[in-house]
Amino acid sequence: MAGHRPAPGKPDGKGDELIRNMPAINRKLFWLAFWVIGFAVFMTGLLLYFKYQSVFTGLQRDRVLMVAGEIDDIAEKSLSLGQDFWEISTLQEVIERRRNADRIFLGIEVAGSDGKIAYATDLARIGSALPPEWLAVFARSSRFSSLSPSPSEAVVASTIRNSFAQGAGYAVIRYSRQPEQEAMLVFTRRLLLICVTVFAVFTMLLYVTLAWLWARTDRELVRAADALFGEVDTLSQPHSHALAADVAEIRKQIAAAQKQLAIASPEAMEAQA
Amino acid sequence: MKAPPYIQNQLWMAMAAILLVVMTAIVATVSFMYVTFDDSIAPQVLEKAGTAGRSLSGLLGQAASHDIPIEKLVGVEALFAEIAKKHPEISHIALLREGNAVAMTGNSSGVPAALTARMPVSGYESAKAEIAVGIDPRYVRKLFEEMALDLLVVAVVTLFVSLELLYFLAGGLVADVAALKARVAAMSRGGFFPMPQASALGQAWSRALDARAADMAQQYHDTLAALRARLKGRHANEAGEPRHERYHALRVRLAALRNAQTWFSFVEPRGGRRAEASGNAALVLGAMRAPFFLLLLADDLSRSFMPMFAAGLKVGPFAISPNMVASLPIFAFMLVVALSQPVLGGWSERNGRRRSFLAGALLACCAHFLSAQVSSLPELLVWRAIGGAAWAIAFVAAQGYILDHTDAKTRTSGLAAFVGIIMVSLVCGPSIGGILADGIGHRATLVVGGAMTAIALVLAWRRLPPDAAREPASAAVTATAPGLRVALANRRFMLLLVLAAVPAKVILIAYCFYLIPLYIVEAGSTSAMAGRMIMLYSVMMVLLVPVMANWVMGLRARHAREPEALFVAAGLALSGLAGIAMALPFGLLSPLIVVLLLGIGQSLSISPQAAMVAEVCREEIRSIGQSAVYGVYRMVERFGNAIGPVIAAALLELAGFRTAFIAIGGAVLLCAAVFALVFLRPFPRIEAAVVPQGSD
Repeated sequence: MAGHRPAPGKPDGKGDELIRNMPAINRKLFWLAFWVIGFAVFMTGLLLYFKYQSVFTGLQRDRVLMVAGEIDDIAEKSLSLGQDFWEISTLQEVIERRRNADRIFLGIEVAGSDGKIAYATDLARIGSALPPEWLAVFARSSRFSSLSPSPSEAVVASTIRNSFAQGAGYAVIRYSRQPEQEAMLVFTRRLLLICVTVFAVFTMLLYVTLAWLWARTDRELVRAADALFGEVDTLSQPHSHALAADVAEIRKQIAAAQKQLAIASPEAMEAQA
Repeated sequence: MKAPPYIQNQLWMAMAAILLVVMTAIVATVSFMYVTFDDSIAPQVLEKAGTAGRSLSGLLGQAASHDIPIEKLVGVEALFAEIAKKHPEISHIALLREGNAVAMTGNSSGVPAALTARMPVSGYESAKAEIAVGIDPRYVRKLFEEMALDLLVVAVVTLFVSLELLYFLAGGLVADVAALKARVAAMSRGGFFPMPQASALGQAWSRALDARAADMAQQYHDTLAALRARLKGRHANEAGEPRHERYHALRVRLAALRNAQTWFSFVEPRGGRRAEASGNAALVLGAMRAPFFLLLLADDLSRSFMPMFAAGLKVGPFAISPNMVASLPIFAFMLVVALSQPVLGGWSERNGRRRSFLAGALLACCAHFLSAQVSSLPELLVWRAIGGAAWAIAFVAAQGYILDHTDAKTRTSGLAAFVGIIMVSLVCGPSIGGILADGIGHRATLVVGGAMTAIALVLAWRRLPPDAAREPASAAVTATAPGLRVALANRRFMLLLVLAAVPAKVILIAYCFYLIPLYIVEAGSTSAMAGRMIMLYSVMMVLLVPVMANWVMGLRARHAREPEALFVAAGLALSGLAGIAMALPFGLLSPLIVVLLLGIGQSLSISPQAAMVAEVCREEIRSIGQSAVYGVYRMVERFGNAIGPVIAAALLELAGFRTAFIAIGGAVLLCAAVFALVFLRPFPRIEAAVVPQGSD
């Protein structure tokens, strides 16, 4: 029977074959694990970073907006009582008191709708104008607006309206972004540490899993190769039913073909055997 | 039902393992960071509670100046409720007198003292009045729950990207899986001819199969040689055998050989060309896949925020409404893609696929980087138009690469992989782009897209193989002027275009890429949410299009009538109904319903609509060829892509979101009704045609 004779190209040893292929395959599997886990952890880290930044800045902004809203309320009440915007006597005292209430406040200004500052915690700024690009942002919002003119400073504004709901001016609070930067730095360090650790551990885990799957598959295919030649005992049969069925089907086809060829030319088949 | 081959099972197991480990890595990162988040955010929330408390204290203090006793204050609880409603992190606000609540909103149970800010009420110090503002201890958990959707998006996108990485880093392994599957399938059917060998996975198995096949082929050739020799010497009678017995024995042997030749194959039926072609196709697909995917992904990144980005730019001297401004970048991009269709096919062939692809990648790189720094709408429109040209050039070159390097046997799988790359990019791009845009801004996300195209350019330059000699049958799907004249003279074809192809594209682009992103941001949500909606549509297409196509094929096989027209009409009707769903007062759930219905509708109609072209234009296909007819079909369809956002912008400007959605949906519903009247009549049955692929 043809199956019993040595076949050209048949592997001589399973182990040798496997080891010879290992390094190149392992490298590929490692890079696959590296990039896949790297992408997942990087995107998760990025999401967490964005979320923390938006929550932290949102909390600070809301805190400052509450104070801006208070100043705005006081100004609006005064306007509704008929006081002139430029002569609200209590406003200067209110903004100076509120300036000291929170350590992140850099300055509070109340400006007219043209941007000219009427009241300010920094008296030198009274009479000067708010930057036009700030006014453009304030004008786009009906009540509260915020912007970050520099990495170290952020601004929120609340629109002051008169009794006819027309914009009379803005209560503007400038506050420091230093606490935010410090918190972001601490958070980023911690995030980096965790991401790098998770990345390292899970890259290795995925690599080991894929390498194990690879080795298992390759072993099974070596078994199938042996079973195809019918040289070994049943222990070397593939464990997978699907693969064993494939081997059986191929062997059946080979046997059937050999039978027909043997009828066609028994001499040739004998010579080959 | 036959079980999937062992080797395919192993590939699925590897993908399942990747998904499981990726999900666990994401969960681990989030779990570890939860503690840090909680520790860091809590003091900030407490500070905010303190500010709220001081503000309330100041307000109540005004009552003290009017000598109103604390227990006689009115409207305090309503005021507290209003504040608590505005700030979801506040669990309760209480006005206390000697530690007992006089007025309170919310629930203070389970709130630790460390998460409660307390301050005296100015003016009521003698009554020992205090304001207590408590923080919900589940606030951070709620924040993380809100992130769950984003994290799920990351997991899904990572899975798709890991598939692309698998092709890029270990394309040989995937090719080996295909080679081993093909070899086992051939030998199980009695095919013993040379086929491509596995280069890494299952080399022992591959060599054993090859050895057995070679062995059988050798036995066949030996048998053939022996029989030939016997035939030649049939007149010689060395053994003294009677003549009739000799001839009978020979007849038996020849019959056995014929049987062997009938039931088994010992030589490659196409002289080895199939093996060569499939090897080439795998090589080209492997080389082209990563750069093409990156080019598409770079463009898809901006889909979720491009209308918002454009709306924020200066329009220059033109008096255009913000809604129209938001639609113009999509219009410019799609118009250039549609207009370049007739010329690019020939241009790409003349210049060579490799050079064309590199030119497309270079143009895309410039367009993305320069889009990121525009200061006005006209600048953006110029770069988006150039981006459209770059997209079309790369698209035609990539499609041409596949057509040139495949034969009739391998072309379908090559084009399926091509469409697969487009769909994966559409799944990943908008969702990731939305997340990036919310975090780093629109311009920085465009720069990320530019960086991707730069990587694509380098990869294409280093990996794309030289051009192959084209087979005559591999003409790309392009529209030509004569083709346009002949095809458009067919009235039924015109009706198919006007009533189905164009409306389907108009509603898709108007809804998914224009109205929904704008509506979602207008409703107070984010670009990331818009990206998720577009991603949902793409995932539905990936899952449903093959199911619907199989359904149509099954119906064709079982019944005498062609069901294509019915599917197209039903798909159009569902797409139209999607818009009408916006009349429902469900807030952000309404666009979700729109996307779901649109996804089902489009997946119902896409394949049958393309198949109908072959039926409606049978004569034209005979006279000018299938490619020319489908070229016209794709070009007109792409005009629908271009005008979709402009129509939506005009309607939005005139009547607002809801009316714009409903008007477009109503118009498509009307088209579906007229289409059904015209086309829901039996056609003479024809054999299924091979539909050239094209995708947007």
